[in-house]
Amino acid sequence: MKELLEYIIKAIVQHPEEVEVREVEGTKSVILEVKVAPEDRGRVIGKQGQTVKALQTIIRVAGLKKGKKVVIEVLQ
Amino acid sequence: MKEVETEGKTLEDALRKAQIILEVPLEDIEYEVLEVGKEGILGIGSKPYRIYARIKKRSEDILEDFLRNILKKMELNFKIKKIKKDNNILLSVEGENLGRIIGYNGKTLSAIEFILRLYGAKLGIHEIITLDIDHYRERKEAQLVNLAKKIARRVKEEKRKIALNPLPARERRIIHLALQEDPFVYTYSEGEEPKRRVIIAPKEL
Repeated sequence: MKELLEYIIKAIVQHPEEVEVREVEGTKSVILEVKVAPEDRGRVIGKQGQTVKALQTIIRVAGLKKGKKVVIEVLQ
Repeated sequence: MKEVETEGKTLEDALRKAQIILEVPLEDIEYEVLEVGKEGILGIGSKPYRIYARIKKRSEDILEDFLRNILKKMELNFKIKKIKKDNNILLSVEGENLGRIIGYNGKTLSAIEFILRLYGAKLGIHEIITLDIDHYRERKEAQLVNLAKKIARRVKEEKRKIALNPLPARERRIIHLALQEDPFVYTYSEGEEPKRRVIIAPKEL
């Protein structure tokens, strides 16, 4: 899941070398914390959060097997 | 990827040689000049141009690789067919148990397509990118065209306008296109997203 998210984000940003994804596992959910270059934040979030929503949809499917809810957080 | 180093009296010369070896049209070749040549006087002091050339990766191949990597990481078994026509690139995924990447109402399919388009935009790919999985879009389109025709018949018989259920923009477009040449009805959209709906109305004859 983490690997997939990292792969996609690196492909769509301008500074792939600055992308970091951290997986924080809770009992019922998995939080994927995303850190990108400040000028790439807008790209990852998208207009009205469209991009992060699309990422969430894709990652949730990948996370279904684990039976946990997956949340993506784009860090400041 | 095929690559080659060639020499020529001029840059054009070196490129022509590269083209013969690579066996593709000139526009599919990208190159780097390794050494700038000189013409010299009567061949004295002349130096050839040396270039490194290779076949440019086509946009549809780059997109296909990206999509393949994503789906592989989702542990799916699949094949990708790509069709490039005019200004469109269609990537069609076929395989088993692909329902989960289509999602309810094609939500996951649309999400993957959105990401593909974003990636395409970043790379400067100007073609319209469409993703289909297990022919979902194709089936959906056929369904919508049928629905449009059925409702159009009712509109004609009952001589009153009928509103369809709200549909996303691309599905409304399919309805409009399906009926654009119908002599008895016309279509338009009404309302705000995400509740915008198509109205099919009788033409005043």
